[in-house]
Amino acid sequence: MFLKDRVAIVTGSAMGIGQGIAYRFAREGCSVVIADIADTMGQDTAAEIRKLKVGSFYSHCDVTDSAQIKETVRQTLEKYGQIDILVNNAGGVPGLGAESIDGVSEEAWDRIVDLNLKSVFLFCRAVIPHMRERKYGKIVNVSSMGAVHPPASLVHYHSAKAGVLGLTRNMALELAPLQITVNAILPGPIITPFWEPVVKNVSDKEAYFKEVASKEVPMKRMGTPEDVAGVALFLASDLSSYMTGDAIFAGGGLPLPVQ
Amino acid sequence: MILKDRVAIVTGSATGIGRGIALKLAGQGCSIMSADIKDSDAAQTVRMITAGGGKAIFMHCNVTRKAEVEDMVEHTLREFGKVDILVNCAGGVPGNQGLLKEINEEVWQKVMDLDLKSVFLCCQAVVPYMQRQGYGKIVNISSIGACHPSVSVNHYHAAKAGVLGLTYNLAFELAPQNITVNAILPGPVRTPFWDPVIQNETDPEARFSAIARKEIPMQRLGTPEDIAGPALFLVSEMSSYVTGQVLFVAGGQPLPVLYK
Repeated sequence: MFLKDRVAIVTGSAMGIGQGIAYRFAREGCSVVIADIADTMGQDTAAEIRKLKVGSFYSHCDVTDSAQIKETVRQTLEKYGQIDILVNNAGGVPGLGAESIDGVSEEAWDRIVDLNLKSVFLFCRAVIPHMRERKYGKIVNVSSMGAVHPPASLVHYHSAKAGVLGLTRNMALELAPLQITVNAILPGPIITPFWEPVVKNVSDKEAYFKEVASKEVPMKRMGTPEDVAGVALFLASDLSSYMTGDAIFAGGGLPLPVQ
Repeated sequence: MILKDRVAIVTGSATGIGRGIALKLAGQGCSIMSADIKDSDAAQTVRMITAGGGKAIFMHCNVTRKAEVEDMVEHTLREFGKVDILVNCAGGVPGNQGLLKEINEEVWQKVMDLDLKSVFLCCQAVVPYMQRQGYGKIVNISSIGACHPSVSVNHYHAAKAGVLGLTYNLAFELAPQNITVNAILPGPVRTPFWDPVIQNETDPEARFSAIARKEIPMQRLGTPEDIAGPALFLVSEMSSYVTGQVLFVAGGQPLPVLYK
């Protein structure tokens, strides 16, 4: 067990990649706080995790609201007394929005940047004083392959996710002397609810994903939340004791081209 | 045990980083072929593994010689029945001089063979078996100096950068066959590699802590164990969707040190 007796907050963990990370951590002996806004799914995820004989609870948390973040951190410390790991995974492009830059309204820009970038800043700011005190902490930020290698045009989302890489490196620089590591993951195409708006009018979704994988992914398969969770486990555990400020692509070989 | 029933070849595992990796993998249930030219040290690595209940064998292997590499792979297959994992860790800087004016053609060639061609030879010998079984994990140990040199060792850093090119190209070629190829760029790690550097130091510890303070964001030198963790990640299912990746394992380098 790589995370025995550790405590993690995983944002956006009611479904998809975040949920995969939460389950993976729990199987390694880690207590996991499910911070999300999808209440029913979040509560269900926490209940599933408790069956693995580790602690878990759901905390309703809009990661763009610093007061709600503070409350989630307070609940975690009250219940478990420590926070070893923070995974900033919450994010997304609600409705996917306009694809071309001239179609992105200022309001949409602000909303997406708040959700995907400011949220990471706010959550780190809330957790770091505690990690600083303990001189231990593992922070994992979930960016996106699109931050450096966009497969489609999502200008606000990809800008925000690239911002997450800048934040990762700067925080790593600042916190390295305290043995607090800060690293990022850039997931490639992972099958999650994130894709629902894209495939909602596709009749054979499996064939569609197979086609995408064979054309766009060197390993010729789509990723799963479990694929990303393995990388998150590495970065949240002491296996990455001497790594900080790095970013790992979890994209089946992307950004390498396809043969 | 996340590597139960797996078989790994770890080159250069008689000492230092390679030994740390061999011990780490063995601790997760992996059988180890320790391939090195330092026979008595490699035998010691094997003893350390078997004393803990693990399986390991040693074979004398100069990784710059194709025939020796092929023999070593054959021997691994005979003893363990398969090869799932290859860690290319053997390497070094014979002569320990690296300024441009210090390197003659002969030394250049020697370093290219030891640090780059060796990786090509080991991969070429092992990949056909991995292709046949539709599974493989290859990890190449490069050096942070390949992208971010802190001392001038031209031939070594050129070879180690070559290892990155080989990693990317091989990852590209083997991705459809479920064989991942990744690299680690270790920063300064306390190993016998440093012996020639500190042989004239009266207080080596002071020298190391000065390096750590001045050059490493995390303010400490690495240990073989620090490199073994990322190696375990890259040879296990944790990295199932990761190929062609290059990991800096250097206490925060190439970031600078934050002065307050």
